[in-house]
Amino acid sequence: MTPSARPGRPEPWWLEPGGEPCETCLMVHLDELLSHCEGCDAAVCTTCLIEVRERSLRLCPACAEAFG
Amino acid sequence: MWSGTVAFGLVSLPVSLYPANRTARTSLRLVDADGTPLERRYFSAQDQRPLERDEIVRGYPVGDEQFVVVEDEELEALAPEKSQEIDLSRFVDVEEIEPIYFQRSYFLAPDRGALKAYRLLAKSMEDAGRVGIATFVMRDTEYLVAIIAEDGILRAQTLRFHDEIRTPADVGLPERPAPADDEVEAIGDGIASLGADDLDRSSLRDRASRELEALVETKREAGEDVVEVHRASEAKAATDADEIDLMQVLKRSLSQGEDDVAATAGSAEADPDSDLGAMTKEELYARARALEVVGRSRMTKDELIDAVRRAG
Repeated sequence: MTPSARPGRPEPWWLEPGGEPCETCLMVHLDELLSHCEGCDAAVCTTCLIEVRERSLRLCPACAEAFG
Repeated sequence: MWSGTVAFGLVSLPVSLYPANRTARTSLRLVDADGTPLERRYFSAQDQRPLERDEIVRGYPVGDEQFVVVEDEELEALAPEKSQEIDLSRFVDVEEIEPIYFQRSYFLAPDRGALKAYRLLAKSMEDAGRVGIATFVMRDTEYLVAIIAEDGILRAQTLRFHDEIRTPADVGLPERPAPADDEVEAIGDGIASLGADDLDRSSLRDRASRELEALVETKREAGEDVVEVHRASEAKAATDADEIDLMQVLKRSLSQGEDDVAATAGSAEADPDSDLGAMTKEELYARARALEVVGRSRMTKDELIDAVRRAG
């Protein structure tokens, strides 16, 4: 049982295995859990996603590094 | 984000790709009760501590509790050969591609001096009702792509590979019993009564996100549940000038091409430096990456302009 699951309840949908890879960590996720980098449009998961708040950008780590 | 060429026979058309869709969903951020933004970190259950990025490697599961570690260098060695070309070697009827294959859409914008060939290819494909099929490499990954011409614009539609497509049997749909004719007719009448000649685009709006934004604005104006971000550097608002308006980029590229044609006809030399100066740092970086400019990640905007000019 995952930490968020409750006895007698179905598994939350967001914990189901997905089939779409994050292009940074290469782990697969549900498509609904992936964003797309605003720099290069790569699919990026919520853990790898970096928010550059000063510029309201949501970037993959490679683009975040490039944009300083 | 990608620059290269569309190749068709002896024609080589320099183009750049721009995403045709970007989410308009309202994005929320997790903060603590004091308004401090929270971050996601990988956590080692064994060591009971968060891990830094350089402590993490990728593992391929090969059994219970067993992984084969795959290093970055090994992945890079397996990456497809870098290519900046979309080679249109096959054309099919647009209806041959089922919507289930469609993945991401990108506008193809003609680069400097390519407008005439771009217009010619787009019109020819549109008149023929044919879609070009190709593979290309972007971000070290090979994509299957359909090049579609619509209203004089070329669009690249990345496609799912065939082995990604699931069948009804894969998801356990039952055998289809033949429905009764009178029931089909009754349902058909119902569908016909709800028919419309045009799809009302306003019905496709993301109403839930707009309602959430309205709720936030109402609470902000009332000073209700407003928490201040602590770090001063994070409180700076984004400026609209930094946003990339994709349609503006496309229009600019198309009008720039028209200017090129006119300039060529009048033997007037356009100044490419002024166009680079009008680009955002993000656009310049994408161009620099496409041109494989070394050290681009550490460059200022002016340095990127200079490097792109020299590499181009």
